[in-house]
Amino acid sequence: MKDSDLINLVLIAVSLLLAMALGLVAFFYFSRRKVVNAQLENAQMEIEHQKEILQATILTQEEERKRIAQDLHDAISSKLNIVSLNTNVLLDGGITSEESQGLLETILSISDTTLENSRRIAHDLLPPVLEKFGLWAALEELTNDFNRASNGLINLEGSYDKCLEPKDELHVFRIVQELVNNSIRHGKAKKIELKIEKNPFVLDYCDDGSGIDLIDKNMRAGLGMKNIQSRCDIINATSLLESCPGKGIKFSIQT
Amino acid sequence: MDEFLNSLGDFSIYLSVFTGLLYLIGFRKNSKSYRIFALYLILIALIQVGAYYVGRGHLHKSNLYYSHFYYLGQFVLLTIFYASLLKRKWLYSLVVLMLFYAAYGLIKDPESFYRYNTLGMTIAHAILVLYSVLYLYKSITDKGEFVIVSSGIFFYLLSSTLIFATHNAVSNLDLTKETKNILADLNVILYMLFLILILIEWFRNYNSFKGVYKNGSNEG
Repeated sequence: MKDSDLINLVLIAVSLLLAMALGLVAFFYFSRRKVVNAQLENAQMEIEHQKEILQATILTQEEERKRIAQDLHDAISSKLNIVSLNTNVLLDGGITSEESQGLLETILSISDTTLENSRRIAHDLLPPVLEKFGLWAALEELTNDFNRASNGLINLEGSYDKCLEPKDELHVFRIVQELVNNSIRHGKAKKIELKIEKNPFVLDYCDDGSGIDLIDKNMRAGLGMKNIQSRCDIINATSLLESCPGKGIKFSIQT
Repeated sequence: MDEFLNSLGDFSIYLSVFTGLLYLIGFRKNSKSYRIFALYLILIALIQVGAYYVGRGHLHKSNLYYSHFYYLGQFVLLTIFYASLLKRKWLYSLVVLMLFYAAYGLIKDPESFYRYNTLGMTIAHAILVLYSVLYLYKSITDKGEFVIVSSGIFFYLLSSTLIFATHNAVSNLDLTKETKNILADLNVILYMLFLILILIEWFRNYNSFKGVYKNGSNEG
């Protein structure tokens, strides 16, 4: 081998090493860009999800305000109006004692009804039994309330030993309330099975209603379902919804 | 052409000094890795100025013993630099091993101080290349500083290792000075590219004179 050939060989080897080095640096650069893009996409999706939850929370809040306003108007304000009118008639005088007795009885009766209504509204907003005796007692009360109106509608099974925080218990209770309301209002269910398991906490819910079409995005992502989903996210629970039209729904959450 | 390459060689020394001084800006307020890298640049600039003074400037003597300071100094500071970036303290043990190896070689053969240590330099460069690959791999998923510099260290040391490794063999060949200088000139060009990448890193990520105006707030 001539001496100058060795120089050429070294030059070729250096060029090859350089090309290899540049290729590897380019590989790292493009891999990094790909990973960063994927991370950005995930972050974007997470932000979208958070936005949806926030929107659902605001909408639920507005719906709830509307319902409370309606309840107050129908059950309290209108009744108090009658009480006010009757009291004015009594104050104006010029009526017989039988008439005034009748008016007083009406006022008393309306006051009783209004009191009962205000208790019901307060109870609907936050059942006192949930705060005092916990989730299981609140679910039993909910079951009894519905079963009184429609015999054997809800069957509650299982056991619970306060494995959830009180604030999480409220979320679970609201989820059950929402599910039952959906089953009755939209699914026209005749039978609801509710089962609770402890350690880890598992809630299984199923009904025999009309079910929902999970392929239909509007049905799947309705306000009620979004509300349930956001509550599951808050208590760090995984949820699973199975349903098809005409076959009821099956819903479970696990912490 | 030779004159141009000679000027390029001189320019690389000025650029090396300039880069070292540039990295001193913000020395205190930046991370530990930044400070170690700035020290590395200063060390390399001093070695280059020293080697130039002894070899070409005034004395015209052999400056080969500077290569020991170059490869050992570079190995020690870049190992500390990567130990900080990779968060691996055990890398310090490699510094101790390398210093022992160099000391043993010099005690055994004191005359080797005035020769070029091909094996030592190849091992040191190979380990540094490995650090840079590990760090580039890490930076695929993690947000990391000094990615541009690491790319530069990877490509420059990988290519220059071969040039340094063949130095002894080539210098013993019966060739004209110009032909022998081809490899040294190639090394100067690669070194210039390396310095340019180091400058890009500073201007992109550590330039404290560059303010970013975003959403009504001025981030300096």
